[in-house]
Amino acid sequence: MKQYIISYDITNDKRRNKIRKLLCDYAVPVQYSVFEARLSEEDYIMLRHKLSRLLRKDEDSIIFYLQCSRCRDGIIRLGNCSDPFGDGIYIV
Amino acid sequence: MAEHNISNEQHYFPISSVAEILYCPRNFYYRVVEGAEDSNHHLLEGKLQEERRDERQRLVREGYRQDRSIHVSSEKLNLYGIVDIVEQGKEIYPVEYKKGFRKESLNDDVQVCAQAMALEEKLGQDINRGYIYYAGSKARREVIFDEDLRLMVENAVGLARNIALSGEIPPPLADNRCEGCALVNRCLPFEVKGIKENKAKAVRPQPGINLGRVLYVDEQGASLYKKGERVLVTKDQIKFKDIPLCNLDQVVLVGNVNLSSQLIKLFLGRGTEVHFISTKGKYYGCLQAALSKNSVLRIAQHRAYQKQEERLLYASEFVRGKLSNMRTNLLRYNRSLNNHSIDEAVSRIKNIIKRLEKAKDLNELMGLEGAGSRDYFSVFGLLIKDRVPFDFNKRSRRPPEDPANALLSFSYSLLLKDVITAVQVVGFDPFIGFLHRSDFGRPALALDIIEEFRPVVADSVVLTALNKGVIAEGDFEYRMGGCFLSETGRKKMYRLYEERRKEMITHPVFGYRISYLRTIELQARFLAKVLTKEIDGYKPFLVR
Ligand code: SF4
Repeated sequence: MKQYIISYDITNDKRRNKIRKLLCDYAVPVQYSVFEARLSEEDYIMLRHKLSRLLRKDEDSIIFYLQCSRCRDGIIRLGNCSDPFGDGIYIV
Repeated sequence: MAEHNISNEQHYFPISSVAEILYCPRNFYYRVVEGAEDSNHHLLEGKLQEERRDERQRLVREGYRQDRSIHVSSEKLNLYGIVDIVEQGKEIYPVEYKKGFRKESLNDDVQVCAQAMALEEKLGQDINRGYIYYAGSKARREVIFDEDLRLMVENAVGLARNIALSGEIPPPLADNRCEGCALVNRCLPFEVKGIKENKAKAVRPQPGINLGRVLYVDEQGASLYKKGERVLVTKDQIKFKDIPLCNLDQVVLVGNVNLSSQLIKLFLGRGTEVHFISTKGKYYGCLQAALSKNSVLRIAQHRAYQKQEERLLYASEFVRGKLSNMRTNLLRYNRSLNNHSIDEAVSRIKNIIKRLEKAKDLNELMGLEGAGSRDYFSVFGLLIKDRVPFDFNKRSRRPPEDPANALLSFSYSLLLKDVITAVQVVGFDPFIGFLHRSDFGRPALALDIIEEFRPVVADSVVLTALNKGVIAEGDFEYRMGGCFLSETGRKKMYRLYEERRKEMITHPVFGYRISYLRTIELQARFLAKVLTKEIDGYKPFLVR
């Protein structure tokens, strides 16, 4: 299980929407064009693969910042943003 | 001799697994003998063809024709496999594709050499060299198939055959090579080494795969759908939750909740645990993918079950675990209570534990277990603080008669789901147990292993719920002569229970920090290693 910050810069609206939608399947949107993800090796490969199919290599960019546990401990959140993963207990 | 040939014929090995044998023979054992899943990596790699094709395009050489994914097998070596690329021009040679950066690796060399030897057999033509292409550095490395390398292939095959025929598990490496190994949770290299060398403690914990991320749905009439790769929980057009599947390890559906078949497929495919429980806390069952391939373990389990002596031995360890942890619970609470009756119960339980060893049969053992449990529950009510207006005199089930019993029963059902999962993940037959009778269609093995965890995980959740005042009188309903948790009560219990199972403790044997959730899986894995005779003597999980 690894944790990433994912940010994107997509020029075309239609592509951006598709990529956003895809990212929502694997990651939690935390800010405009910034996501946080906690992924297993398999999910990570899958996501990268799917992204590479949507991406236009000459125009768009997506960056995965891998976070080690020390980086994670160092995250400071100000304002209206909580840890997107919380305690992982969802009760309906 | 003839017999020998027959056995040899049965063992065709995948080329990749034989190459891995040089890296770790134990890894080979798990994959080939126990049928450990290769995780999903390989399947995924196939799907990633597109990305790979891009890379390869640049590789095609002038005057060479490329064929991809060629199946080969060798009768001489008893090997089969897939060659990523065969290039044919002036010469013919295999090219193996690797994800990472260019590196010298004997495994990789042995792998292409074995592929070449199989190709030679197929084509009747000598192949002197091959290549390994490293996607990370976009470069290929030449490998010369000389006598030494060919000999190495033959030796690796010999080693593979020995392991497969003897069925003996090679010892763990237990060094930094284990770090990236996909099988580390099954293998437990450091723990096994520690146990074998009798110097526990100096062990590093391995991160668990299951992070205990869980979704409970106890909204009657709600439905779960798949949307993209996410789970959607809705009812009457109201959206309750929308969670990416990759953020969930377990789903618990309580009572009348609907699940779409698309989602079921997805859960099965991902290996997400799904459990069904009634609103009264009765455990119904779980979604389970096809039976695991670990037949070696199931055979060992059945064999141990047949042997009365061995069966009794394990059974008595489960009882010892349960009673010892009950006693510890009482001792812990009595530090502040200083109650004489509790003291007495503690010493009575202690005496019973001493007699476990001498129990001659399962009946006697069950008798002792019953006596110990009665002693424990006779004072359990004293652990509940005065201000809680609940009566508790003795354990009652089916139905529970009072709030404390209702909470205990409910808590045990939640624990049962996790023990059942552990038992299945390891590859046991859940229905063959040692202490519990296996003839009532009950998950007897899970009921065995649950014993040592009842006091530490489930009972303590109940005591927290009551003593911290989280659960109050209004959280119960009286129905049909029994006492049950109401919906709000249940939802409080889910949270308390989940928080407890995620709690970190110092492992009593290995000394590392680990969650209760992981200790359950560890116990199941140890039992498996004991049954398959890798380590001696099952030891229950005892808290201090
Ligand atoms: S964890 Fe280590 S010893 Fe175990 S199979 Fe993997 S590499 Fe081998």
